[in-house]
Amino acid sequence: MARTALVKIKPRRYKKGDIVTVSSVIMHPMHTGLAKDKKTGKIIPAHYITDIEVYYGDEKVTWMKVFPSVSANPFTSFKLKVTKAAPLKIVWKDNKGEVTEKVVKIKV
Amino acid sequence: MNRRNFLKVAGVTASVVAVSPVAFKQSVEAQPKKKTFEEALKEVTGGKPVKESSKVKLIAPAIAENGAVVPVKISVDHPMEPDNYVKGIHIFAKENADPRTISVYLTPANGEAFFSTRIRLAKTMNVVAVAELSDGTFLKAEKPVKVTIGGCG
Amino acid sequence: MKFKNLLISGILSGFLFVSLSNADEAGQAISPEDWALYEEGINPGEVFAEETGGALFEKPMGAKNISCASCHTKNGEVEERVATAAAYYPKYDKDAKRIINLEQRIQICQSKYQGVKPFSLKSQENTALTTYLFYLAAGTKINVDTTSPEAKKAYDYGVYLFRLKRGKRYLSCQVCHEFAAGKVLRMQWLKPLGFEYNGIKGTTAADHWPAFRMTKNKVQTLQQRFQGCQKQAGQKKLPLGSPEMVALELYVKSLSNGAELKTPGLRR
Repeated sequence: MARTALVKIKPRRYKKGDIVTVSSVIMHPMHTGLAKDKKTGKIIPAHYITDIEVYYGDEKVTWMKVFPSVSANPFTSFKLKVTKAAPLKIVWKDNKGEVTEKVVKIKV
Repeated sequence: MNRRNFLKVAGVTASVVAVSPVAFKQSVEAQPKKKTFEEALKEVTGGKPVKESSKVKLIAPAIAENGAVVPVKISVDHPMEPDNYVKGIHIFAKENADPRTISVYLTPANGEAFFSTRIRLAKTMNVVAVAELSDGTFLKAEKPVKVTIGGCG
Repeated sequence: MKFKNLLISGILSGFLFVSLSNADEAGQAISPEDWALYEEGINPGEVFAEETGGALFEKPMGAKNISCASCHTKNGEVEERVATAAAYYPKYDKDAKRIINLEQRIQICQSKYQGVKPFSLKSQENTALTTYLFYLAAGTKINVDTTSPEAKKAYDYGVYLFRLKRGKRYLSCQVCHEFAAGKVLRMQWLKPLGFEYNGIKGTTAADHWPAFRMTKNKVQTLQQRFQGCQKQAGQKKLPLGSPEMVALELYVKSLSNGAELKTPGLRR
């Protein structure tokens, strides 16, 4: 089951050779597995994003190892040098095996 | 003035300060330490030396608005050429149960060594950014971040 | 009696702020530069507004199987009247025959026009739809009516409630947001809720609610935030949608008349 995710590229208009900022948010609770549910008193099981991978065309250009200390609804932002027209794909994986993908087209 | 009334009111006031930290503790702080910072750092560096460097710019609030969401921004003043680039940026929250928060692995395709994210801090502590270079060396920057108990809610 | 009340709240207020500006943290709170770091990223509230709220806006419901969009979109765009509505509520509603807020108007649309049981004011669904409408209205100047007979009644009632001291700590909204404005309470600034009060710059609170609350990890509406304040102040929470809450919301929002909506906001 994919989660809601948003990918933004800044600036909106760019040309070949420019370096753009790629920001994204995925809606995810990032439960550490250490906190208790206030109502039931039971530990909320760990449920958090563990890996993020970024593909520019076929090439894996950036990847991340994510730990539960990242805030809920993980926000990440990195730079990308625009070299070709190709899809930019971000893949989020969590410890329960849920995978979410979001693709934006880099157009030059 | 009714003395009993005043004391009752004063007693409640004093407890206002006491109540919130406990509530905050439960949700974020009260975790047993799983890993020391040194252990967490070793996972990344394999024991290699890490040098403090002004080339690593770590931006984080001096006083965080809350411990659940602390923005952290890192840029490394270093080329991103095929044979000479920043291949990793690792962010540590020194006093968290597991000091590792996120490690991002970069390639020359990124163009610039930059990364921004939001992390959780269990309490006031230092945040450490470690840049891993393609030649195997490690550079770091460290910054204290104050985490508030929390104002009104 | 009145003097005694003033004395108690005066001493209480003194107590609160002396005991809370303790140790080495007296008077410290987040700087504007550091707060800017929060605003640099993506606000999860926006994702909630667009994806969750937007999806509900387009979801067909009820026996007639119509969505909000069925009535309220023209040429693929939400009609301006609805896309800017958030700037004008709370206001008098002809169907309800009283002053209501946007959350309640959504309920009326649901029951009267879609023919379904409306989402409760506590529900994330109602909050999502409300947030979506506030998101569409971002940039519109707040303009809450305070002069027509019904609105004036609600406005005056709102002022009265804002200044009413109640609860175990004998506090009113006014104590923190006017008398103590400019002070720091447990490393958080206390600010007036409009443009300014007594020379202290306000937050124009109503221009950034509903907001995504980082410590609650969800979007809350202004009335839901009031409930949080009430709880923290040791007061019994007023029910969402009650005449009291609507009056308070009308008054507080009117303090920001003229400010552009910057919704959804981002708050601790």
